[in-house]
Amino acid sequence: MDIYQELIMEHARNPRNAGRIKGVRAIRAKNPFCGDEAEIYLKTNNTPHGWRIADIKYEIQGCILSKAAMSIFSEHIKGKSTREVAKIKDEDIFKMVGGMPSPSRQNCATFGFEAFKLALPKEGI
Amino acid sequence: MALDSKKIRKDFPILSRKINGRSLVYLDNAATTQKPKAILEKLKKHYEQSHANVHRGVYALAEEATSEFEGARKKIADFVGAKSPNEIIFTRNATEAVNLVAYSLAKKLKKGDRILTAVSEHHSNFVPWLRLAKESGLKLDIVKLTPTRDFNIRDFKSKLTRKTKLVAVAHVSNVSGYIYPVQKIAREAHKAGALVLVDGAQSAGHMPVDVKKIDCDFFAFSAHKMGGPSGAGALYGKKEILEKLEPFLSGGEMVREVSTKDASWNDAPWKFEAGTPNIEGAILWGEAIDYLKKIGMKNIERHEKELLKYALGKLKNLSFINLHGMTGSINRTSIISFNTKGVHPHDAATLLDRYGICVRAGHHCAQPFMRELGVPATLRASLWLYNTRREIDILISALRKVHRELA
Ligand SMILES: Cc1ncc(COP(=O)(O)O)c(C=O)c1O
Repeated sequence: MDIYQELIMEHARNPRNAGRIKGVRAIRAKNPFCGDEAEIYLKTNNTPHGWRIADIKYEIQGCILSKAAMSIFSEHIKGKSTREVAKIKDEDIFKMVGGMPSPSRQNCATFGFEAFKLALPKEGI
Repeated sequence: MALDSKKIRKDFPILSRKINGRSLVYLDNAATTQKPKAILEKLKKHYEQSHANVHRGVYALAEEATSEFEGARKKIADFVGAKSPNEIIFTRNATEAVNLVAYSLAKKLKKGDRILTAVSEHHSNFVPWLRLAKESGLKLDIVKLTPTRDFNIRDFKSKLTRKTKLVAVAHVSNVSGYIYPVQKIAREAHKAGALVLVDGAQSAGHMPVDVKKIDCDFFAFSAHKMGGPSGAGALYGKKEILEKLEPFLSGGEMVREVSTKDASWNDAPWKFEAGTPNIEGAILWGEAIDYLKKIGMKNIERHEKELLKYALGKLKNLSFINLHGMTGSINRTSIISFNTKGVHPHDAATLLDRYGICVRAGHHCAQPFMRELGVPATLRASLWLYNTRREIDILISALRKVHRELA
């Protein structure tokens, strides 16, 4: 996969859902491979249909792939039930970003997802 | 004498391969170096002619293998200026050499004793001390950097106390390439009654090394960073100190006599070498040393210095390159860490790879150092005897393209 394909470049230049959510505690994550850092702001709602991702925002300091993957992932999960997003696997992330990066860059694609998992509350899953 | 690059490059078969359709430009020598074909030929010869376990058999083949293995120990001892081959303990790598000292010394240290290291150290010469301090109730003191990210000798002196039992510092930083004043550090440390460990992973193979002159008590280094194979490393230790230290691992080879109740230890260095050692690793390392000696360590040092100056001159002219103040070429080997403004190091390294250029992007196993620089990661180009000005030019022109494309 070419990491610097149009989809990735576009998301990296115009990240969706970037920023913070007032009144929500940030969950911090660090990518042990490269030292990149992210803060996730996650809001979940208990609806008649179960817990849902009401809103997600983030701040990320990372490479193009990690930024783009975070952006794509945040769009993907917004509004979904927590039960549904708890089933997401690394392979799904690779599909979202348009393919499997080379081994040394896979952790860039999944970093946002890993950070998100830290923020996802356990109730309702 | 100037190095004959053309001839030297022919000795390293990998340098003629293509990466992504381009000639390989290998600038990650601080991570590991490429191998001269002399060691390939040596391996073939060893396996075809002289292989057996060492120290055990009384038959001719075992004696031959033992003599090759112990001969390698002698070559390595001479290479770093040890008084005797018995001051060289074979390990897997520099990391294991540092750990050997940490474990063996742990038994001699007591609560409240202090260890002094630097914030710029590779994790290999930092984490073992962090751990030892935590587990044995010792205090870890950490030397700061100067504004140009060099070793802060004043801070070092102020943190050296009577309680300091060990000073552990790099000979050459794997991030800045700066050569630390280890001779001076050792002199001060000894005055305070501390032992001195020098992490020589980045100096051996790049400059002449003389442990007697440095007067360090320990010197840790790896074969794979100087043209030898991976899986082989060594700890130099002063004879009288090795004699007093307890063994690290236990098992065969490191013992003299074993009963059902007790065991006594072999002499140094063998008491620190439990089990069958990396026989061919040591022998190939010896061969790599022969190769380097033929070229001459002084010549290699001079070649690297010239390339360093050339590369720094070019990089300083690029407005989008941040050298983090590490712009000097005095007391420095050819390691250059930098950031490309507006481009993450991983993106830069991935794009450079398209031009066949191998550079490292990351924290270089020196996270405390990265924190000092205020970045999570840097790019790092590190050179060796086979690199050329032409390769620096290729790097510079590729960096311009990367910056244009991504920043
Ligand atoms: C300064 C320094 N110390 C120690 C090491 C560890 O070497 P090894 O991985 O061979 O044990 C390295 C390797 O990168 C290094 O650069």
